[in-house]
Amino acid sequence: MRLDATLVLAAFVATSAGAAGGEGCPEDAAWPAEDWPTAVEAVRAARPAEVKSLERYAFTLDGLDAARRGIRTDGLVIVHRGLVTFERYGRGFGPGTRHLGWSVSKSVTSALAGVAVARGVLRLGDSICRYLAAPQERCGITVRHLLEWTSGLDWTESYEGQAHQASSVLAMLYGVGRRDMAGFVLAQGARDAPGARWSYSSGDSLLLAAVAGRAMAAAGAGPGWPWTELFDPLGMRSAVLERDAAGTLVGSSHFYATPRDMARFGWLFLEDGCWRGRRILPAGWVRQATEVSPPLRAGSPPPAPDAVPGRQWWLNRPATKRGRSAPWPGVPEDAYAARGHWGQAIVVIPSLQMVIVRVGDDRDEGALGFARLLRLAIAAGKLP
Amino acid sequence: MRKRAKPVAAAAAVLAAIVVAPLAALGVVPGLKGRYANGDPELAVAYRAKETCSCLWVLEREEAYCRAWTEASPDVARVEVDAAGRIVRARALVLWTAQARFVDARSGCVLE
Repeated sequence: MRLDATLVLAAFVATSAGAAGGEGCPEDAAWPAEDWPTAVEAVRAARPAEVKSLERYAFTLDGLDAARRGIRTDGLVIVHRGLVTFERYGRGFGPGTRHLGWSVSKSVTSALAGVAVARGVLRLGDSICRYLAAPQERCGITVRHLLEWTSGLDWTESYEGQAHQASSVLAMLYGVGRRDMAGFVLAQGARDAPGARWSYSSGDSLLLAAVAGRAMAAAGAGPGWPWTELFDPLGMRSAVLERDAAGTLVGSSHFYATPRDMARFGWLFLEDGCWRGRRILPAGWVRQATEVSPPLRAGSPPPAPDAVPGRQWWLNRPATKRGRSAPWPGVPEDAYAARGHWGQAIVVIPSLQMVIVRVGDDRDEGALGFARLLRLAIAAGKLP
Repeated sequence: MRKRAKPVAAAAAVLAAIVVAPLAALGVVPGLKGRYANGDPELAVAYRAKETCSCLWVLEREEAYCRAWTEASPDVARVEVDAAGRIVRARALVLWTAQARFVDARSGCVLE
């Protein structure tokens, strides 16, 4: 415990707001320095039963690895009030190993769009045709539609294990669309008028990355802008974001980082889009990102019982005021998450000052009880 | 002539059974099963080339892990790793190939 306390004192850098561009930033926030300070041993000593329950649930493999069954956690990191309170890895992964985020990438892309908005080079109300060479009939789609998954483009979001030739996302990433993914998305037909209906689409997220990239490039930013403007200021030195052969960021799917660096990304949102007193995302961006998507608020049903979307984030809130309960029972209703295929998640819980990162390889998609994992993690990861 | 025709027809039937039926089942014939003209072998080679490349040089995991991690169904792709050039090539059923190349520490791998 003494060691932990020393680390905390040594590693923490207290910052105050008031730095240039720090409008409305939290004043009493603390940030990780070179690395997250840790209180793992102190928490384990204080809550041995809760820590054991979490470990047993998340890290018990079901049968042979080759069978790909059950819950297969590669890493689990909990940060509470700025300290790592739980950290464990499995299946050959470690603190220095990057993990594929899959659709966690979408929430990262939303932040890249936020950076471009903060720079004044991207406006949510603008037609995508302001930034992209799109067919005239697609010019009714705005940047906001992409952010809210309401472009109206005809899209089938299905993965392995389903009819491959029906899958728009597989065609985009690995099939006919792979060389120019933005061009592929723009060539899809329209199913709804833009803004009319919510539909989960990696195509919308990919176009959002394309639009943000074109807007930044037009303003003179080099191809390294996601790093210089977002990942580097946060100290996410492991961050990788791949491109297609046409140079578009694969912002729907191919973001990688270590779980510790994913926690930094979560912490940016927990601190209202600020880092060390500097505003990275526009004021109000995080609040708007975590509001229920407008078509759902208007009454159209959510896509699945545990999926209530915000702007490229998933929320633990009822979709409508009179609607069903929050999707993750027993978890604070202000929780929201970046979530990806095979069980990737960055969960932000502002009311608890907690970020939970879980990476895994769950090929058996129904195996992990997401709310159960979060309840166990919250119980095990609180500072004494 | 007639005597020869029968074996030819039989051979064609056998060929159809061996080659065409599995290809059709794999979704190689465009438009047969869905809206996109990409069959399973095309998806399989691109997926395995790209994800093996990223697994090796972004995740920095060992080759055996990466081969197992990227295994997909149907398992038709064969993967070759050029460690020196940081290139992964995947092939399936003679006709389909894909190649992914490691670009740099920020941009990871790209499908070529």
